[in-house]
Amino acid sequence: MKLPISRFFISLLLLLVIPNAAPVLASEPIGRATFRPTPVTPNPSLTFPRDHGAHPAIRTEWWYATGHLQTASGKPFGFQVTFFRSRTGVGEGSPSKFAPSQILFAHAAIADPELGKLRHDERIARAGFGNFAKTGAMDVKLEQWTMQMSDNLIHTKIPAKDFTLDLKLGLTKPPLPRPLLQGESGYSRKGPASTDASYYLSLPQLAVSGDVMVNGKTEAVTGVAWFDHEWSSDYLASDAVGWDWLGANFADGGAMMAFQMRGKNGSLVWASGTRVFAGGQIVKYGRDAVRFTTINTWKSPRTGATWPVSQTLSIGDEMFALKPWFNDQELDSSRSTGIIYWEGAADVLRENKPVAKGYLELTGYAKPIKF
Amino acid sequence: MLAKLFIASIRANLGRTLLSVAGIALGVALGLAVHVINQSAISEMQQATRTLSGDADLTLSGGRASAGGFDEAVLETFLTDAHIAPLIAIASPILEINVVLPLPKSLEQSMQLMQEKMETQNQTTTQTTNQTTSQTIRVIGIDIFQAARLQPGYAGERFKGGLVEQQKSPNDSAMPLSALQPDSIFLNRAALAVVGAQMNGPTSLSIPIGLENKTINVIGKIELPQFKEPLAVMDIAGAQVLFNQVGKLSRIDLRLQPGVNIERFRSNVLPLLPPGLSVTTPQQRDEQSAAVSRAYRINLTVLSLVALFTGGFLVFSTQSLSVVRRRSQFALYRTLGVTQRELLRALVAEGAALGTISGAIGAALGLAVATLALKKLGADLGSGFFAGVVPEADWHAATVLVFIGLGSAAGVVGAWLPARQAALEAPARALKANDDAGGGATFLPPWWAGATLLVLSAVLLALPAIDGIPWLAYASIAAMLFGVIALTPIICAKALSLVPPSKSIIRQLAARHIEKSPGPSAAAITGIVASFSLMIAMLIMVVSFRASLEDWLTGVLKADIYVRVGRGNGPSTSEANTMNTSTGAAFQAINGVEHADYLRYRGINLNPDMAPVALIVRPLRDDVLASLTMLRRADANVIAASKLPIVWVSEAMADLYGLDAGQAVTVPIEGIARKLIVGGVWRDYARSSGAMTIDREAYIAMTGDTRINDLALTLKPSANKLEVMNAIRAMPNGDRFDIINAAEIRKLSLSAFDRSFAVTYALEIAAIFVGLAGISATFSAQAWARRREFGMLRHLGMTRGEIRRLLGAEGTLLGSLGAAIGLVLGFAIALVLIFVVNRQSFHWSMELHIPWLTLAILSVALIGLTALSAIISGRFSMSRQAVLAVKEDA
Repeated sequence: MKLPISRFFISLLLLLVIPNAAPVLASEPIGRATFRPTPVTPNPSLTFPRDHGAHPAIRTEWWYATGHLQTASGKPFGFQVTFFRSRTGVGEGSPSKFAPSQILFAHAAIADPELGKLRHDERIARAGFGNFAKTGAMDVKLEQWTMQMSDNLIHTKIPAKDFTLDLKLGLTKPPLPRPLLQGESGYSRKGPASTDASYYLSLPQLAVSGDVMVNGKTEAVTGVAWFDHEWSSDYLASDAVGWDWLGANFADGGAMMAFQMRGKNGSLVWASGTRVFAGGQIVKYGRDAVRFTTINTWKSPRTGATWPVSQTLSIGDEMFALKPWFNDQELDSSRSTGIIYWEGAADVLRENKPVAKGYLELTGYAKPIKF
Repeated sequence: MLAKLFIASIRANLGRTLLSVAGIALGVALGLAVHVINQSAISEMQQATRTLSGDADLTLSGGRASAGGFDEAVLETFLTDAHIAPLIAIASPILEINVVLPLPKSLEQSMQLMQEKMETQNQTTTQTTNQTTSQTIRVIGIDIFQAARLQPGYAGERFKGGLVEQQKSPNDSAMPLSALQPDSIFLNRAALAVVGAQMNGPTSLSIPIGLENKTINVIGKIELPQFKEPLAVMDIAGAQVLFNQVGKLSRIDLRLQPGVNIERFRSNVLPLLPPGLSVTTPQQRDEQSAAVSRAYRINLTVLSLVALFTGGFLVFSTQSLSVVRRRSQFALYRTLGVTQRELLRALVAEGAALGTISGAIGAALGLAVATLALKKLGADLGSGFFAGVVPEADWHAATVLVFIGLGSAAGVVGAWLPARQAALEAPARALKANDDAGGGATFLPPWWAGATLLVLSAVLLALPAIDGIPWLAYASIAAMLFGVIALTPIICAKALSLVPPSKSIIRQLAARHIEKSPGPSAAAITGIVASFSLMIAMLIMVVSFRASLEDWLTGVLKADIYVRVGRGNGPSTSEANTMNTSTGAAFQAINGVEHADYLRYRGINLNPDMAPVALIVRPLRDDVLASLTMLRRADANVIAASKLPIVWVSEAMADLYGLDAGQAVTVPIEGIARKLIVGGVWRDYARSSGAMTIDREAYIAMTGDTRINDLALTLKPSANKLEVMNAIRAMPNGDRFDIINAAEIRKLSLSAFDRSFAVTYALEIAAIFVGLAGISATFSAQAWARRREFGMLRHLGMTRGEIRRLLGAEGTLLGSLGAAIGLVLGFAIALVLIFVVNRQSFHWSMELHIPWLTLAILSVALIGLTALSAIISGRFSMSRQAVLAVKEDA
């Protein structure tokens, strides 16, 4: 009985990110609304707080926060919270409030070096009946999971299966520009076609305060977090199968984002990066200036996937080593939402010295799916 | 030693012993079979309900599916309320609709069938009813994201090579969202069979919904092993749109957060619910689904135990005989030092062993019958409660043991009196054994025992039902039965002493024999009295019921033709299959139609712990009201003074909710509590959980709902029914209407009634045969005991023929006495069944109708059979042995 569900979800998620499914849906039989999610175009004029809110005309959107935390006793935790919104093209114009035209899902995970693997949980629901991703300002709610922004503070509450996060991510720490618009004024290319792109903004160097409850024990935590908001109708180029991504907060107050889109056989489809220096200077790098190279791989005993958990990143003329807290930070939700990816807390080293706290994201390694 | 001798005696009495075994076995078998069949149906229904609700802690619903859905706003309230929402882990909304799919061919067939019927006016249409039930598909609209966690069974498996996929694109990513498409549906095996779709590939179906045809795509199958009826699952948004139910839900299955107290949550949310909604635990729902048919099941089980009761009498007769035969044997044991107590114990043990063996045989037989019946006939014993339920036989060892125990008890009770008689007898006297009555110290209950039982019976009658079941009324019947049986010897003696002396020596002898030996005669007669009275009681009850039902049907089916959209009649179908007033008006215009009344049905949940009450909306003109059998009416001034809209409630509703004419009642209609006044109480045999009717104008004023479920067409006297029906067929979408001839409904209803009582008739016949077997056994016992008497009579010059006539006269006398007492007792029991048991169980009253002719024929037949069995059983006494018997003593 479990299998058909997972198959359903895997395919569902495929659809959410794969652009060439769109024409298929567009030519559905008569009686179904034709579906053309708005494509991403260059030179957006993003305004805030409006563009912190949802963009329901776009196919896929996510609000993503990761960070390195520490309890009062010095115990480290990594965390990841992501809310997704997806325009399915199904049931648009239906008079039913249950019409599944907008689906929300969310993932949350805690990296606990003592445990050596992730604690994670997820939610999925159609928008409506108490679940929403509001427009105009950041306000997302999925069952009892919430993320909203007000007074320069992102507040997220995640009561999950075996942990609870209640975190406030402060935007008050100078001197970084907020938000940090990625690519060209927030238009971030992902592939060779001009529509292979997303609107993408980041909020690095967020000061975290809040509570983490694990094993029935609630502890106050502090730390530093990274926030991304990205929305796109054609995220993956047609020949891309996945990506490697890093977001890192430097101890000196700087920040760095870098990604590469991989094609079949590991070929490079696209790459890009942004480096913010401690003084506030921002440098954008194009596809030839960003390169990820594998140092070590780890094979998951659960899924059989091999992940390049340890990599070197060369960006511009800088060179970093990305070292995961521990290998097993695979997030296998194939039994419910169907995604298998690796989202790990990692230390960023320069010449063997830790200089930044980052999160490394690896997708498309689990199966020959194009993810 | 004793045991060996007893076994030897059983062997000697083999034929008769086998008869008692058969009697008890039959009783146990019938009782167990009926119980198992009903229990299986119940657990099947409960399991299906549980499967569909998954692991829900609580279910929020407007009663059962028949309540017709409720506003989805309550889900919004639950999921946005700051206090409630955090306590809910999963809230799975469900919209359930019964869809009746016409198979084009069968539609044609039934059209033809109906026309033929119009012409010949005969034959019932069991076939048609079978077709309609088999074509009903339960469609469940789900939110897969919630259901996947709570009811994983709902997840369908998509067929490979889908329609969309083949036509549109080789890209398999086109398929997944197809499960969410508003026209996609998953079917189970039974449903695939009903629509005639292939088992492993996608199909497009055109289904009639209301007056439209809609296309749905069968994109996969679901498998719920516990659910064998046709079932379909689709996305809830699609279901709402497809079935014109936007904004409506049938059910919300809730899983609470770990650690939340379910009962506390329940009591906290109850006040927030709109009227008519309830929150129930799976246990409560199990109880509810069982409660609907509970009275029916218990009554049937009690009836089936009647056979066991008569089986007990058979043991009594057989043991009496065997005790008489072994008198000298027992006397010998006693002189050899066996105590009274040991002898008593041994004889009772004999009865117990017999009863237990019979019980075991009966249990095996009962289980076999139940299994076979469930396989061949389904669980519905004709009552309609479990129509279409085909469960596996579901039984527990404990239940089987209880029924075997009932067999043992019947054996012990039957053996007790004869055993006591044998044990108490003075050995010396028994050894001498020249007592002509043969029975020795016969036990006769004193007159006050019988009288006390009758008084007890009267007292029990005055007491109310316990938990909706007339236990005390049954106890009263039992007390009455035993009281009369205890008094039977006295009544017999009194009656015979009043008989004037006859010139015929033989008749004189017969009358005096019975008068002077009340013990053995009573033993013979009690079996007759018991079985005959029960048969008479059931007969009078069934005849009264049937006559009242006919009267009621005549009143209810006042119109000539009934028309509904789509086929089938499930109340949950009614919400999807409605027509609007313009369609209704088209019917008014048909040539030959005097007027077309608009009918609307709703299910109303008045009490969350009880089944919903049917609300029937129709124009309540004076002639319509007059056609209802009105039992009580409120004073017109009281109604006028209240200034409230009038509701007319059925007898069952009045009973169940403690209402009476002239009282105000609050009824939730469309989520709003309406205050109404009860104009009167009418008789309704259709809905034992209650019904109420209000005027269509008043209903529309309250709700604005002008939809129509059924049309009741009254024709002009000159009109031709067939022409009108053809005119309806010729209307646009005419093939979509189910046209029902009122005469046909009437016939269907009565044949359904007869079918449901067929079980009862079978039980009655079984009881009578057991009773007759008892008579034969008693006469045999007496013939054995009186062999010396007969020998003496022969010695004195009586011919064999005269002795035969003597026995015949005795049999006739006994039969007449038994029939007379049985008639009176049966009549009394019938009154209890009609006015107490039925009222308490089903909340319906009926007028008393007495089938005098049938009663007379039955009485004559009984007397004849008694005489015949007396003569046949006495054949032995006319053999040579009888003469030898006198010599033996000389």
